[in-house]
Amino acid sequence: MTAGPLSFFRSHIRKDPRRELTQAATVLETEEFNLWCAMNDRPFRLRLVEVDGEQPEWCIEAEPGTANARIVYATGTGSETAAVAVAYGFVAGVEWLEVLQEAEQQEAEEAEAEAFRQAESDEAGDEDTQEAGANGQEST
Amino acid sequence: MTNPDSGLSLRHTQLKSLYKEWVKLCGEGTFPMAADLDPRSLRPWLDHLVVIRIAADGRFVYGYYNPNYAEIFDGDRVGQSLESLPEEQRRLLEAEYRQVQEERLPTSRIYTALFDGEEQSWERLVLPFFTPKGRVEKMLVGAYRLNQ
Repeated sequence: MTAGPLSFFRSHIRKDPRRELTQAATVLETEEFNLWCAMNDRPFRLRLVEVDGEQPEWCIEAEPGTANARIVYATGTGSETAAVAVAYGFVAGVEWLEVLQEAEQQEAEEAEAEAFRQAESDEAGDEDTQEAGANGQEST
Repeated sequence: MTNPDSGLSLRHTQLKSLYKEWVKLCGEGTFPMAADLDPRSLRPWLDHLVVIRIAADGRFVYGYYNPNYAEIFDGDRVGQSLESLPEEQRRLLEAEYRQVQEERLPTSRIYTALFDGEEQSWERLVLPFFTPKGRVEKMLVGAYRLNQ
């Protein structure tokens, strides 16, 4: 049996707690999100940031603690619960983008391999024709 | 396979329960994997946790450093490797993490040091988490002060 197109996506979706949010009685906290990111190689964390003396809001920081650390998304809320929900949505978006990019790359590689096989097959066909032609000339 | 009954002798009740939680993840002959961990299950210990990831070049890098520790110790260490630590501390921790990586077993120890002029004893527990192929990729570290 060949794998359907969804099997590729299923195999690439990480198991994560946000899919169980509706069943869970507890609300995830920012530090739990940060821990989850660390355990799942997601280079993000939530940080409370105060901009221009306004109310602090939760922001998503990429590559925290490194020379490339930067705020990549402002959740627009100072509520921890809302910020965590937004942050999981953000990470899900990043994951889907990665999955799509990987799928596109895989398709491109397969197309390239197919084109190569086709070119080789055509080349072999040309050689046969030329050989047949050459044999024909010899016979005349 | 990691033997969860590795004879750890833990003193702090919170570390004992954290260790039991890890043993539960071992299931029946399976490796506890980082990707399977539900952060909510670690809520009771969250303020005392650090995650160490093993980088592709073999360095040990802080992936998570609870803000509680950042206050107690010398600031936030997320994103930094052990190289950022003072030499003596770096060597000690590196040997400990290397041991867990190679033996694929949890380890614990008690250490006493001066913090802000006060002598304190802390107990540490290091728990390995694995890739599907059984290689240690992350370590969850819990530490609690003993003489409070």
